[in-house]
Amino acid sequence: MTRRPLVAAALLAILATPTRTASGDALDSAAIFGPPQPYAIESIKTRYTHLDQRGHGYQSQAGGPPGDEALTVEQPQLEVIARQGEHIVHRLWVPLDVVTGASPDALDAISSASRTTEAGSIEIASTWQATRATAATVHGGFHLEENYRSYDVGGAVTHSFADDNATIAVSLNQVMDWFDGYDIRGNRLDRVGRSATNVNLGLTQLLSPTTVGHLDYGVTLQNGTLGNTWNAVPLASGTLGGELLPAFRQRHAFVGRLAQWLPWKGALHAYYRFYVDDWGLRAHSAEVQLYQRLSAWLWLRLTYRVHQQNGVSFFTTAASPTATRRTADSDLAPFIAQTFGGAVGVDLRMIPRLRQLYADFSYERYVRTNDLQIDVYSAALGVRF
Amino acid sequence: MRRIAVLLALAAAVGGCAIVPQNRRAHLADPMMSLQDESLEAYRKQKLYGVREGAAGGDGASAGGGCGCQ
Repeated sequence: MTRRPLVAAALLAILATPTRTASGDALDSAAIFGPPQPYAIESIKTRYTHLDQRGHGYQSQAGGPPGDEALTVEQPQLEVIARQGEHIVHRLWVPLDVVTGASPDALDAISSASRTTEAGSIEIASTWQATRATAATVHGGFHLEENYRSYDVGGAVTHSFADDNATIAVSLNQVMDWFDGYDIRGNRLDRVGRSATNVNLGLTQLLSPTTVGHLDYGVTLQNGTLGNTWNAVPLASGTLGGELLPAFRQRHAFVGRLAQWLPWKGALHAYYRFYVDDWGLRAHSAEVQLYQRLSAWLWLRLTYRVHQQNGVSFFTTAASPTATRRTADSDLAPFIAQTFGGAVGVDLRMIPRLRQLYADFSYERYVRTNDLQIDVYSAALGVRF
Repeated sequence: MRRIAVLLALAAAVGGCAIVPQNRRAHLADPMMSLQDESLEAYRKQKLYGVREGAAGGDGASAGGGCGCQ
């Protein structure tokens, strides 16, 4: 008989306890039915990447030829996503690059003053969810580097149809650069500039309950000074000259992506890209990524990528002094590049106040057939509120 | 341009050839199935390859501009 009041009291206590989500946030009627918060931070992410590059290229004057291309890069990034009302999301993104080189550029040909170059950008993007199926994004940014100034603006529209089975996306980007030109001996020439206009069209399609595909085409038109002005070119006479590049470049890229769910809680991603431009460069890139979920909070990823390009039509390591176009830049040479890598990621859901805290760490090795090797270490930490 | 037009027409046609109901998208909703890399990871890769390979651009991103020389 005395049990009934105890059971009733326990039931009342349970019912009186505020309902909580898995994250520990209290939910009341105001939280569910009340007006949305005018401004709320949704997530903060950071990523730190370290690149260690070794190799040689004929455009470098650091020893050689070919000169040394050794450098290290420290690349921290910060991203904050904030929601304004029900339909607008803002993204603030700050990437930094600190490059420590083995004096491969013209400034260091006469001085070591620029052996460490700091570069940073601030980018802001705002997305307006106009309807359930249609969203529009505008973005703008500013890039500051030792002797560079760069601005970019752009916009994109996405629209889903067929019950969200397909999504089309159109984007337009414009980049303007200004920088100080130097000749290969480090003498300052003048301020030069260039522009890049880019249009992309993409389609994402659900192909089955376990398969999704994506096609993309992008064209970029560049105009102006399309090199850094201080890359060296070995001449047939045994001396060095400067690069001579066209002032216009038209670039096309076609991309296909496929993701396939695997029954053992894994996923296979396949990527192919074909590139062609009017400098005579053709390239094929393919990448395969294998994901494996080991538990609800732990996953692994293996990556293999191969890239083959034939080089621009005027690449040379012994240019004729009378040539009207010439470059010895190893990035524009014929080569095959391979990337091998892996990553591990964790979702730290055991912290009850945070709905999602996650981290990942990856290592990749990039190897090129024309003497360039890079080790890439990257770690990320993010939280969603 | 003709090839591009044919490609786009094919891409548009694919849009109508498969319908996956909402209640059969559990696997597609897993973050591992996202076709886009995580945003900061995407920048890391774009920077790595865009600066060192003379074949940047496309896939929603511009070629050239900013730091780097291509």
